Amino acid sequence: MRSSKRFAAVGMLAALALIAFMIESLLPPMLAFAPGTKIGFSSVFVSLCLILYGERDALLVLIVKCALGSVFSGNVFSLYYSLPAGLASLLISVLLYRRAFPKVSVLFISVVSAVCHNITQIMMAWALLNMAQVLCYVPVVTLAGAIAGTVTGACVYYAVKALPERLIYL
Amino acid sequence: MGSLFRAVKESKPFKKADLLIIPLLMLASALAIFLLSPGGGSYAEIYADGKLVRVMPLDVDAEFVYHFDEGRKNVITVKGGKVSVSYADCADKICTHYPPTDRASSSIICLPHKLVIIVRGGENEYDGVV
Repeated sequence: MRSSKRFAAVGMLAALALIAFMIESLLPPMLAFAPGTKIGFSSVFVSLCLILYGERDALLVLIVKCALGSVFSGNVFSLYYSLPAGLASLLISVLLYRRAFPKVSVLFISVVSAVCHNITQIMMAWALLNMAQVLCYVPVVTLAGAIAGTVTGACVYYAVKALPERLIYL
Repeated sequence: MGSLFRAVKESKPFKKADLLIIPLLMLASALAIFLLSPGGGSYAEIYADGKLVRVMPLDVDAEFVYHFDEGRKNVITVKGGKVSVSYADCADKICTHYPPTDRASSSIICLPHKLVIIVRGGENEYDGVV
């Protein structure tokens, strides 16, 4: 954090991510046969933080969102899969933005990181239950991730397009 | 750190390759979903923590209460040939959001309670497991 303005901006992104997470937790699943999947608008704020302020602040937003989100929604167990999934998708985003961008688009990075997020959740479920049956969910969760990533990618892109540089450059 | 921000601002929302890769990914996963569900289930296996604890035939309306812990339970209901979780007091209640299913190899999972219900088709080797 180089300035208090930046600290406040990152804090606001964290709060927005948390609010988005809480609201989404009240909504029904995105696809009827893909329970537990959401569009994941909170990841829009994590990605935004990554693009605006870099990976350390994005990681902060992610951790705040996962930790407080689990406590506020009364489901601390969710940390078991939401934190690894969030970390995996953030890691993929960071790698792609650093290495592949702009040869790949924002949309592509969003889709890949959303799919990674969901697959990581399945892996964590597999690790806990130790039953290969859960792997049947990989295609379901990939489809859900592709759709979610498309929506969130559009949000991230158009948000960055709309934000004036002097506002965020702190 | 404004460089990535500027770079994204100047980038196109999607590339031509995206119009190919992303729909292809969606189609491939949709196909995989379709291929992995042969349909026609006849009984449901209920696994708790990896161990088979109950077999419920789908043609008999019944209820099974699984107790995970003190006061923590899932109620598995077979009704109208389909199985579902009608009640759960787990942390996320995702298991109750599954639509009732009768498709073989489909499953219902309650992760906090380590409960896995798998629908199987064909002949059932057990008359019932208690």
